[in-house]
Amino acid sequence: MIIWRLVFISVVLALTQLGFLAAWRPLGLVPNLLLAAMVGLSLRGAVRPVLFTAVICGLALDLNSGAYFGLWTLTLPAAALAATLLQRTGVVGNDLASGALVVLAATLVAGAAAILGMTYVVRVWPVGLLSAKLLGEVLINELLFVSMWSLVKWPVVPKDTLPGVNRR
Amino acid sequence: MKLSWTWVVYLKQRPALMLVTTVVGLALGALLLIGPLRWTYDHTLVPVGQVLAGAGVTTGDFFANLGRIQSLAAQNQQLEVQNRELKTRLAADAETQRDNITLRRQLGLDQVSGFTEVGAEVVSYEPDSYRQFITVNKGSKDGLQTGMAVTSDGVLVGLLSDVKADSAKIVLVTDPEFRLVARDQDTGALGVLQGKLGSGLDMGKVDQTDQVAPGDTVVSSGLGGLVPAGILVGEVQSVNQHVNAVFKSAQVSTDFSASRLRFVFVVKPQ
Repeated sequence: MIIWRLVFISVVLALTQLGFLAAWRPLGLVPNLLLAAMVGLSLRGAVRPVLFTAVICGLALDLNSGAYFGLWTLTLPAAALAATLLQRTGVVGNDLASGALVVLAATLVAGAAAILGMTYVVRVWPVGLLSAKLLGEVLINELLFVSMWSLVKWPVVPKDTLPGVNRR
Repeated sequence: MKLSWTWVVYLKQRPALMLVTTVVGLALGALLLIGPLRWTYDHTLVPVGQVLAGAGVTTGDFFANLGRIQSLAAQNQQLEVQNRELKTRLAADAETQRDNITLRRQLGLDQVSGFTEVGAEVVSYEPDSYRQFITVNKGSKDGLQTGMAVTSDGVLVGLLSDVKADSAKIVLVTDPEFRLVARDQDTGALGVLQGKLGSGLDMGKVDQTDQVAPGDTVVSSGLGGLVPAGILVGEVQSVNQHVNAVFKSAQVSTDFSASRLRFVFVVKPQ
Protein backbone atom coordinates (compact mmCIF):
# COMPACT_ATOMS: atom_id res chain seq x y z
CA MET A 1 0.00 0.00 0.00
CA ILE A 2 3.04 2.24 -0.39
CA ILE A 3 1.57 4.08 -3.36
CA TRP A 4 -1.59 5.11 -1.50
CA ARG A 5 0.42 6.30 1.45
CA LEU A 6 2.55 8.40 -0.92
CA VAL A 7 -0.49 9.84 -2.70
CA PHE A 8 -2.08 10.68 0.66
CA ILE A 9 1.11 12.37 1.89
CA SER A 10 1.43 14.32 -1.38
CA VAL A 11 -2.16 15.58 -1.20
CA VAL A 12 -1.87 16.61 2.46
CA LEU A 13 1.45 18.40 1.86
CA ALA A 14 0.31 20.17 -1.32
CA LEU A 15 -2.98 21.34 0.19
CA THR A 16 -1.28 22.58 3.34
CA GLN A 17 1.22 24.51 1.24
CA LEU A 18 -1.33 25.99 -1.18
CA GLY A 19 -4.15 26.61 1.26
CA PHE A 20 -2.86 27.17 4.75
CA LEU A 21 0.75 28.37 4.49
CA ALA A 22 0.29 30.49 1.35
CA ALA A 23 -2.67 32.25 3.00
CA TRP A 24 -1.00 32.67 6.37
CA ARG A 25 2.22 34.22 5.02
CA PRO A 26 4.06 34.91 8.26
CA LEU A 27 6.13 38.10 7.82
CA GLY A 28 4.81 38.29 4.26
CA LEU A 29 6.73 35.17 3.25
CA VAL A 30 5.48 31.75 2.24
CA PRO A 31 7.21 28.94 4.17
CA ASN A 32 8.13 26.15 1.77
CA LEU A 33 6.84 23.07 3.56
CA LEU A 34 7.30 20.87 0.51
CA LEU A 35 10.95 21.73 0.02
CA ALA A 36 11.71 21.05 3.69
CA ALA A 37 9.69 17.84 3.60
CA MET A 38 11.37 16.52 0.45
CA VAL A 39 14.84 17.13 1.87
CA GLY A 40 13.91 15.53 5.21
CA LEU A 41 12.26 12.51 3.61
CA SER A 42 15.07 11.86 1.15
CA LEU A 43 17.71 12.05 3.89
CA ARG A 44 15.84 9.60 6.09
CA GLY A 45 14.51 7.07 3.60
CA ALA A 46 14.53 5.73 0.04
CA VAL A 47 14.66 8.45 -2.60
CA ARG A 48 12.32 6.96 -5.24
CA PRO A 49 9.10 7.28 -3.21
CA VAL A 50 10.17 10.83 -2.36
CA LEU A 51 10.64 11.59 -6.07
CA PHE A 52 7.13 10.28 -6.72
CA THR A 53 5.76 12.53 -3.95
CA ALA A 54 7.83 15.48 -5.17
CA VAL A 55 6.48 15.22 -8.72
CA ILE A 56 2.84 15.09 -7.52
CA CYS A 57 3.36 18.02 -5.15
CA GLY A 58 5.29 19.96 -7.81
CA LEU A 59 2.45 19.50 -10.32
CA ALA A 60 -0.10 20.68 -7.74
CA LEU A 61 1.98 23.81 -7.05
CA ASP A 62 2.53 24.50 -10.75
CA LEU A 63 -1.20 24.22 -11.46
CA ASN A 64 -1.85 26.97 -8.93
CA SER A 65 1.21 29.12 -9.45
CA GLY A 66 1.67 32.17 -11.64
CA ALA A 67 5.28 31.27 -12.29
CA TYR A 68 6.24 29.35 -15.44
CA PHE A 69 4.96 25.78 -15.55
CA GLY A 70 7.57 23.29 -14.42
CA LEU A 71 9.29 25.44 -11.82
CA TRP A 72 8.09 23.31 -8.91
CA THR A 73 7.75 20.02 -10.81
CA LEU A 74 11.49 20.27 -11.46
CA THR A 75 12.69 22.01 -8.29
CA LEU A 76 11.17 19.63 -5.73
CA PRO A 77 12.50 16.37 -7.27
CA ALA A 78 15.84 18.12 -7.88
CA ALA A 79 16.07 19.02 -4.17
CA ALA A 80 15.29 15.42 -3.18
CA LEU A 81 17.83 14.04 -5.66
CA ALA A 82 20.50 16.52 -4.60
CA ALA A 83 20.00 15.64 -0.92
CA THR A 84 20.36 11.93 -1.70
CA LEU A 85 23.43 12.42 -3.89
CA LEU A 86 25.14 14.60 -1.27
CA GLN A 87 24.40 11.97 1.34
CA ARG A 88 25.64 9.07 -0.81
CA THR A 89 28.87 10.87 -1.65
CA GLY A 90 29.43 11.54 2.04
CA VAL A 91 29.25 15.33 1.79
CA VAL A 92 26.40 15.40 4.30
CA GLY A 93 25.06 12.91 6.82
CA ASN A 94 21.47 12.12 7.69
CA ASP A 95 21.31 14.30 10.79
CA LEU A 96 19.47 17.53 11.47
CA ALA A 97 22.44 19.82 10.76
CA SER A 98 23.06 18.24 7.36
CA GLY A 99 19.40 18.54 6.50
CA ALA A 100 19.41 22.20 7.51
CA LEU A 101 22.40 22.79 5.23
CA VAL A 102 20.62 21.17 2.28
CA VAL A 103 17.43 23.15 3.00
CA LEU A 104 19.51 26.35 2.97
CA ALA A 105 20.97 25.51 -0.45
CA ALA A 106 17.62 24.30 -1.85
CA THR A 107 15.82 27.46 -0.69
CA LEU A 108 18.44 29.68 -2.34
CA VAL A 109 18.30 27.72 -5.60
CA ALA A 110 14.47 27.62 -5.67
CA GLY A 111 14.31 31.36 -4.88
CA ALA A 112 16.84 32.15 -7.61
CA ALA A 113 14.84 30.04 -10.10
CA ALA A 114 11.62 31.86 -9.17
CA ILE A 115 13.30 35.27 -9.49
CA LEU A 116 14.96 34.41 -12.82
CA GLY A 117 11.56 33.31 -14.12
CA MET A 118 10.35 36.89 -13.78
CA THR A 119 12.99 38.47 -16.03
CA TYR A 120 10.52 38.85 -18.89
CA VAL A 121 8.10 40.98 -16.84
CA VAL A 122 10.25 42.91 -14.37
CA ARG A 123 11.80 46.23 -15.41
CA VAL A 124 13.23 47.41 -12.10
CA TRP A 125 14.90 44.96 -9.73
CA PRO A 126 14.75 45.94 -6.04
CA VAL A 127 17.89 44.03 -5.08
CA GLY A 128 17.66 44.87 -1.37
CA LEU A 129 14.07 43.72 -1.10
CA LEU A 130 14.73 40.50 -3.00
CA SER A 131 17.77 39.71 -0.85
CA ALA A 132 15.75 40.34 2.30
CA LYS A 133 12.97 38.07 1.02
CA LEU A 134 15.44 35.34 0.15
CA LEU A 135 17.10 35.55 3.58
CA GLY A 136 13.71 35.59 5.28
CA GLU A 137 12.68 32.50 3.33
CA VAL A 138 15.88 30.72 4.34
CA LEU A 139 15.23 31.49 8.02
CA ILE A 140 11.58 30.49 7.91
CA ASN A 141 12.28 27.27 5.99
CA GLU A 142 15.04 26.34 8.44
CA LEU A 143 12.64 26.86 11.34
CA LEU A 144 10.03 24.75 9.59
CA PHE A 145 12.57 22.03 8.83
CA VAL A 146 13.87 21.88 12.40
CA SER A 147 10.34 21.74 13.81
CA MET A 148 9.25 18.96 11.44
CA TRP A 149 12.47 16.90 11.54
CA SER A 150 11.12 14.42 14.08
CA LEU A 151 7.76 14.21 12.27
CA VAL A 152 9.18 13.01 8.94
CA LYS A 153 9.85 9.54 10.43
CA TRP A 154 6.29 8.37 9.86
CA PRO A 155 5.97 8.89 6.08
CA VAL A 156 9.50 7.62 5.36
CA VAL A 157 9.71 4.50 3.23
CA PRO A 158 12.71 2.50 4.52
CA LYS A 159 15.44 2.00 1.90
CA ASP A 160 15.49 -1.79 2.17
CA THR A 161 11.75 -2.28 1.50
CA LEU A 162 12.00 -1.52 -2.21
CA PRO A 163 13.21 -4.00 -4.83
CA GLY A 164 16.41 -3.25 -6.75
CA VAL A 165 17.77 -0.94 -4.06
CA ASN A 166 21.44 -1.05 -3.24
CA ARG A 167 21.42 -1.96 0.46
CA ARG A 168 24.36 -0.15 1.97
CA MET B 1 -0.76 -3.27 -4.45
CA LYS B 2 2.97 -2.69 -4.83
CA LEU B 3 4.79 -0.41 -7.17
CA SER B 4 7.13 -2.07 -9.61
CA TRP B 5 10.48 -0.28 -9.61
CA THR B 6 12.23 -2.53 -12.14
CA TRP B 7 11.87 -0.02 -15.00
CA VAL B 8 13.59 2.60 -12.87
CA VAL B 9 16.48 0.21 -12.21
CA TYR B 10 16.67 -0.54 -15.97
CA LEU B 11 16.75 3.17 -16.81
CA LYS B 12 19.29 3.91 -14.11
CA GLN B 13 21.84 1.82 -16.04
CA ARG B 14 21.19 3.87 -19.23
CA PRO B 15 21.54 7.58 -18.34
CA ALA B 16 20.98 8.86 -21.92
CA LEU B 17 17.76 6.85 -22.26
CA MET B 18 16.67 8.08 -18.84
CA LEU B 19 17.25 11.71 -19.86
CA VAL B 20 15.29 11.28 -23.11
CA THR B 21 12.47 9.47 -21.26
CA THR B 22 12.31 12.23 -18.65
CA VAL B 23 12.20 15.04 -21.22
CA VAL B 24 9.60 13.25 -23.40
CA GLY B 25 7.62 12.35 -20.27
CA LEU B 26 7.59 15.91 -19.03
CA ALA B 27 6.60 17.29 -22.44
CA LEU B 28 3.81 14.72 -22.87
CA GLY B 29 2.74 15.26 -19.31
CA ALA B 30 2.55 18.99 -19.81
CA LEU B 31 0.43 18.54 -22.95
CA LEU B 32 -1.87 15.72 -21.93
CA LEU B 33 -2.08 15.71 -18.17
CA ILE B 34 -2.63 19.33 -17.22
CA GLY B 35 -6.28 19.41 -18.30
CA PRO B 36 -7.35 16.20 -16.50
CA LEU B 37 -5.20 17.07 -13.49
CA ARG B 38 -6.78 20.50 -13.27
CA TRP B 39 -10.26 18.95 -13.53
CA THR B 40 -9.50 16.35 -10.85
CA TYR B 41 -8.02 18.98 -8.59
CA ASP B 42 -11.00 21.32 -9.05
CA HIS B 43 -13.56 18.59 -8.34
CA THR B 44 -11.92 16.74 -5.46
CA LEU B 45 -9.44 18.86 -3.56
CA VAL B 46 -10.80 22.38 -3.93
CA PRO B 47 -13.27 22.09 -0.98
CA VAL B 48 -10.44 20.97 1.31
CA GLY B 49 -8.25 23.74 -0.09
CA GLN B 50 -10.96 26.29 0.71
CA VAL B 51 -11.11 25.17 4.34
CA LEU B 52 -7.33 25.27 4.65
CA ALA B 53 -7.13 28.68 2.98
CA GLY B 54 -9.75 29.96 5.45
CA ALA B 55 -7.72 28.56 8.34
CA GLY B 56 -4.59 30.21 6.97
CA VAL B 57 -6.26 33.61 6.67
CA THR B 58 -7.69 33.32 10.20
CA THR B 59 -4.26 32.42 11.60
CA GLY B 60 -2.65 35.33 9.76
CA ASP B 61 -5.35 37.71 11.00
CA PHE B 62 -4.93 36.48 14.58
CA PHE B 63 -1.20 37.23 14.63
CA ALA B 64 -1.64 40.52 12.78
CA ASN B 65 -4.34 41.65 15.24
CA LEU B 66 -2.18 40.78 18.23
CA GLY B 67 0.35 43.32 17.04
CA ARG B 68 -2.09 46.17 16.50
CA ILE B 69 -4.61 45.64 19.29
CA GLN B 70 -3.48 48.89 20.95
CA SER B 71 -4.25 51.04 17.95
CA LEU B 72 -7.64 49.47 17.10
CA ALA B 73 -9.73 51.92 19.15
CA ALA B 74 -8.12 54.99 17.53
CA GLN B 75 -8.40 53.37 14.11
CA ASN B 76 -12.09 52.61 14.72
CA GLN B 77 -12.79 56.26 15.60
CA GLN B 78 -10.96 57.43 12.48
CA LEU B 79 -12.93 54.98 10.32
CA GLU B 80 -16.25 56.18 11.76
CA VAL B 81 -15.41 59.76 10.73
CA GLN B 82 -14.32 58.56 7.30
CA ASN B 83 -17.52 56.51 6.98
CA ARG B 84 -19.70 59.59 7.64
CA GLU B 85 -17.79 61.62 5.04
CA LEU B 86 -18.13 58.84 2.49
CA LYS B 87 -21.88 58.53 3.09
CA THR B 88 -22.27 62.23 2.35
CA ARG B 89 -20.18 61.90 -0.82
CA LEU B 90 -22.16 58.85 -1.90
CA ALA B 91 -25.42 60.75 -1.63
CA ALA B 92 -23.99 63.60 -3.74
CA ASP B 93 -22.68 61.08 -6.30
CA ALA B 94 -26.11 59.47 -6.61
CA GLU B 95 -27.55 62.89 -7.48
CA THR B 96 -24.82 63.48 -10.08
CA GLN B 97 -25.43 60.06 -11.61
CA ARG B 98 -29.16 60.75 -11.91
CA ASP B 99 -28.43 64.11 -13.58
CA ASN B 100 -25.95 62.42 -15.92
CA ILE B 101 -28.50 59.84 -17.06
CA THR B 102 -31.14 62.54 -17.66
CA LEU B 103 -28.74 64.77 -19.64
CA ARG B 104 -27.48 61.84 -21.74
CA ARG B 105 -31.09 60.95 -22.57
CA GLN B 106 -31.88 64.56 -23.52
CA LEU B 107 -28.76 64.83 -25.72
CA GLY B 108 -29.45 61.48 -27.40
CA LEU B 109 -26.15 59.92 -26.22
CA ASP B 110 -25.68 56.20 -25.54
CA GLN B 111 -26.41 55.20 -21.99
CA VAL B 112 -23.38 54.11 -19.99
CA SER B 113 -23.42 50.32 -20.01
CA GLY B 114 -23.45 48.71 -16.60
CA PHE B 115 -21.89 45.51 -15.36
CA THR B 116 -22.76 42.56 -13.18
CA GLU B 117 -20.60 41.01 -10.52
CA VAL B 118 -19.94 37.32 -9.91
CA GLY B 119 -18.85 36.39 -6.39
CA ALA B 120 -16.02 33.87 -6.08
CA GLU B 121 -14.13 32.28 -3.21
CA VAL B 122 -10.35 32.07 -3.13
CA VAL B 123 -9.26 28.42 -3.07
CA SER B 124 -5.50 28.74 -3.22
CA TYR B 125 -2.78 31.36 -3.02
CA GLU B 126 0.55 31.73 -4.77
CA PRO B 127 2.87 29.12 -3.26
CA ASP B 128 5.99 31.33 -3.34
CA SER B 129 6.88 34.73 -1.91
CA TYR B 130 7.61 36.49 -5.19
CA ARG B 131 4.61 36.25 -7.51
CA GLN B 132 1.10 37.51 -6.73
CA PHE B 133 -1.54 35.13 -8.07
CA ILE B 134 -4.65 33.58 -6.54
CA THR B 135 -7.05 30.90 -7.75
CA VAL B 136 -10.84 31.16 -7.35
CA ASN B 137 -13.63 28.57 -7.58
CA LYS B 138 -15.49 30.09 -10.55
CA GLY B 139 -14.61 29.64 -14.21
CA SER B 140 -15.87 29.76 -17.78
CA LYS B 141 -19.03 27.85 -16.76
CA ASP B 142 -20.01 30.99 -14.84
CA GLY B 143 -19.33 33.20 -17.83
CA LEU B 144 -15.86 34.36 -16.81
CA GLN B 145 -13.32 35.32 -19.46
CA THR B 146 -9.63 36.13 -19.45
CA GLY B 147 -9.04 39.85 -18.93
CA MET B 148 -12.07 40.58 -16.74
CA ALA B 149 -11.56 42.79 -13.70
CA VAL B 150 -11.63 41.39 -10.16
CA THR B 151 -12.55 43.57 -7.20
CA SER B 152 -12.70 43.30 -3.43
CA ASP B 153 -14.49 45.92 -1.33
CA GLY B 154 -14.87 48.02 -4.50
CA VAL B 155 -11.13 48.16 -5.17
CA LEU B 156 -9.53 46.54 -8.21
CA VAL B 157 -7.41 43.61 -7.01
CA GLY B 158 -6.49 41.99 -10.32
CA LEU B 159 -7.42 40.58 -13.70
CA LEU B 160 -8.43 37.07 -14.74
CA SER B 161 -5.41 35.53 -16.42
CA ASP B 162 -6.17 31.85 -16.94
CA VAL B 163 -9.79 30.69 -16.98
CA LYS B 164 -10.69 26.98 -16.82
CA ALA B 165 -14.18 25.47 -16.66
CA ASP B 166 -14.49 25.52 -12.86
CA SER B 167 -11.62 27.69 -11.72
CA ALA B 168 -9.72 30.80 -12.70
CA LYS B 169 -6.31 32.22 -11.94
CA ILE B 170 -6.10 35.91 -11.08
CA VAL B 171 -3.01 38.04 -11.58
CA LEU B 172 -3.08 40.58 -8.75
CA VAL B 173 -2.35 44.25 -9.35
CA THR B 174 0.89 43.96 -7.37
CA ASP B 175 2.36 41.28 -9.66
CA PRO B 176 4.90 42.51 -12.25
CA GLU B 177 2.85 40.82 -14.98
CA PHE B 178 -0.18 43.06 -14.30
CA ARG B 179 -0.80 45.78 -16.94
CA LEU B 180 -3.79 48.12 -17.30
CA VAL B 181 -4.50 51.53 -18.83
CA ALA B 182 -5.60 53.75 -15.94
CA ARG B 183 -6.74 57.33 -15.47
CA ASP B 184 -6.06 59.95 -12.83
CA GLN B 185 -9.63 60.71 -11.78
CA ASP B 186 -8.79 64.23 -10.63
CA THR B 187 -6.94 65.42 -13.77
CA GLY B 188 -7.89 62.91 -16.46
CA ALA B 189 -4.24 61.98 -17.15
CA LEU B 190 -3.82 58.54 -18.71
CA GLY B 191 -1.03 56.08 -17.95
CA VAL B 192 -0.17 52.40 -17.96
CA LEU B 193 -0.31 50.71 -14.59
CA GLN B 194 2.17 47.95 -13.89
CA GLY B 195 2.62 45.89 -10.73
CA LYS B 196 5.92 46.38 -8.95
CA LEU B 197 8.02 43.58 -7.53
CA GLY B 198 7.57 43.93 -3.81
CA SER B 199 4.46 46.03 -3.45
CA GLY B 200 2.46 48.85 -5.02
CA LEU B 201 2.09 49.86 -8.64
CA ASP B 202 3.87 52.04 -11.11
CA MET B 203 1.80 54.29 -13.40
CA GLY B 204 4.06 54.87 -16.37
CA LYS B 205 3.76 56.38 -19.87
CA VAL B 206 2.11 59.52 -18.49
CA ASP B 207 2.48 62.45 -20.88
CA GLN B 208 4.83 65.18 -19.62
CA THR B 209 2.13 67.79 -20.13
CA ASP B 210 -0.47 65.89 -18.08
CA GLN B 211 -0.92 66.73 -14.43
CA VAL B 212 -0.53 64.02 -11.79
CA ALA B 213 -0.13 64.86 -8.11
CA PRO B 214 0.25 62.92 -4.86
CA GLY B 215 -3.16 62.17 -3.34
CA ASP B 216 -4.95 61.86 -6.70
CA THR B 217 -7.30 58.92 -7.13
CA VAL B 218 -6.44 56.39 -9.85
CA VAL B 219 -9.24 54.46 -11.58
CA SER B 220 -9.50 52.11 -14.55
CA SER B 221 -9.83 53.99 -17.85
CA GLY B 222 -12.14 51.57 -19.66
CA LEU B 223 -9.87 51.74 -22.73
CA GLY B 224 -9.50 48.36 -24.40
CA GLY B 225 -10.09 45.00 -22.79
CA LEU B 226 -12.98 43.96 -20.60
CA VAL B 227 -12.37 46.27 -17.64
CA PRO B 228 -15.09 48.93 -17.27
CA ALA B 229 -14.11 52.53 -16.59
CA GLY B 230 -14.16 53.96 -13.09
CA ILE B 231 -13.06 51.02 -10.93
CA LEU B 232 -10.97 52.32 -8.05
CA VAL B 233 -7.33 51.19 -8.16
CA GLY B 234 -5.51 53.32 -5.60
CA GLU B 235 -3.95 56.65 -4.77
CA VAL B 236 -0.90 58.43 -6.19
CA GLN B 237 1.93 58.46 -3.65
CA SER B 238 4.68 60.25 -5.53
CA VAL B 239 5.54 61.43 -9.05
CA ASN B 240 8.85 60.81 -10.87
CA GLN B 241 9.49 63.50 -13.45
CA HIS B 242 12.66 64.15 -15.43
CA VAL B 243 12.92 67.11 -17.80
CA ASN B 244 14.59 65.11 -20.60
CA ALA B 245 12.31 62.08 -20.37
CA VAL B 246 9.48 61.53 -22.85
CA PHE B 247 7.07 60.35 -20.17
CA LYS B 248 6.74 60.70 -16.44
CA SER B 249 5.60 58.07 -13.98
CA ALA B 250 3.87 57.91 -10.61
CA GLN B 251 3.92 55.49 -7.71
CA VAL B 252 0.43 54.28 -6.87
CA SER B 253 -0.48 52.58 -3.61
CA THR B 254 -3.36 50.15 -3.36
CA ASP B 255 -5.30 49.29 -0.24
CA PHE B 256 -5.63 45.52 -0.04
CA SER B 257 -3.67 42.60 1.29
CA ALA B 258 -3.27 39.65 -1.07
CA SER B 259 -3.11 37.11 1.72
CA ARG B 260 -6.28 38.46 3.39
CA LEU B 261 -8.46 38.00 0.31
CA ARG B 262 -11.15 35.36 0.91
CA PHE B 263 -13.94 36.48 -1.42
CA VAL B 264 -13.67 38.53 -4.59
CA PHE B 265 -16.05 39.79 -7.29
CA VAL B 266 -15.45 39.32 -10.98
CA VAL B 267 -16.83 42.25 -12.98
CA LYS B 268 -18.70 41.08 -16.09
CA PRO B 269 -19.38 43.89 -18.59
CA GLN B 270 -22.91 43.79 -20.05
